[in-house]
Amino acid sequence: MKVHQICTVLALILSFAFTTASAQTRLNSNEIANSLQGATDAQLGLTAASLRQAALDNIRNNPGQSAVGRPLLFPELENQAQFTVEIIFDFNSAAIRPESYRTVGSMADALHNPILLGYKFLVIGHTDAVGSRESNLHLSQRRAEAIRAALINPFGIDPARLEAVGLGEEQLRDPAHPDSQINRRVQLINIGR
Amino acid sequence: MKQMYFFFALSFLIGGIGTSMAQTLSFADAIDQLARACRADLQKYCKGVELGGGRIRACLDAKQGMISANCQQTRTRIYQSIARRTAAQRSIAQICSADIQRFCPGIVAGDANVLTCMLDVKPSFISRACNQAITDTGWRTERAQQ
Repeated sequence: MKVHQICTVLALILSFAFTTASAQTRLNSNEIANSLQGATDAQLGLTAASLRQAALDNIRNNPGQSAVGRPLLFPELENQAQFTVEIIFDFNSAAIRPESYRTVGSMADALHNPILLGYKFLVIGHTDAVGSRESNLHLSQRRAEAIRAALINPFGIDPARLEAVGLGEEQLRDPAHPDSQINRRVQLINIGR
Repeated sequence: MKQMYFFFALSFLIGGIGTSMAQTLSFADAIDQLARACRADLQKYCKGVELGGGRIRACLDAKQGMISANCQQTRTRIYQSIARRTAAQRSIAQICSADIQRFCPGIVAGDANVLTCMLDVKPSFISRACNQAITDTGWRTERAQQ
């Protein structure tokens, strides 16, 4: 057996182990729905368009800014009723991997929960800081749109309830470790009725 | 002849019960079953195709003759389930309007108030169509899990 064959086998074993582990911590759509409840009536005052523009401006106005310790672009977003998931995409693509289909389905189940009907949501995509800021911003926007599209069809969510925003690496979850994959995530945020 | 009528009536009845009792799947379970049953076919025929916009469905449709029997059968079943659940959620207010007026008058709509009231009514009091709609929405089982 050559080295690369051994590596392939090892990778297969590892990916299987990961699948088994993730099945045990399966997302519960009721938990998602509960954490998405309770949007304040005092609105965020932030539209999807203004979020996108601010992220773009942040890159233009602060070129060469280090990702390490980068301040949050919108600290107020973190206080909203929300749920964060990890969704795996094909490399450099907006195609959701089949192993993440269940996660998107769970998001749809939560959005269809009667306690959340009538509320609107932002689907916000984030990347880690590997690669250029501009390309990360662009990729996260495409991926957020891909998730929104899947929630609409096949899962039947009213398009008027969802807006997609990509924030790239402008709102890192762990600014001390900007390249960490913990930064790659999708936030579903309740923005009220 | 009498026996034949009886047979028809019986099979119709059983068929009716069979379809009306079947539950719809949660969206998570439905799409997960598709991902598992069609794993190899998705990899082979639909790599890089997006789930959204109905593109994966269209891809599997286009490859109908080539995908595995299991994938083919699962695909038909799960898309039917998804369609039935979304349709029920969209139309439940109309289907159940008479039952709601009867059992939950004066309940202010919103925050699942009407549904919560209706789920407290004994199912045998509610019309058959409304019961079926409640079941198809998945909201009966969702509450049971809470």
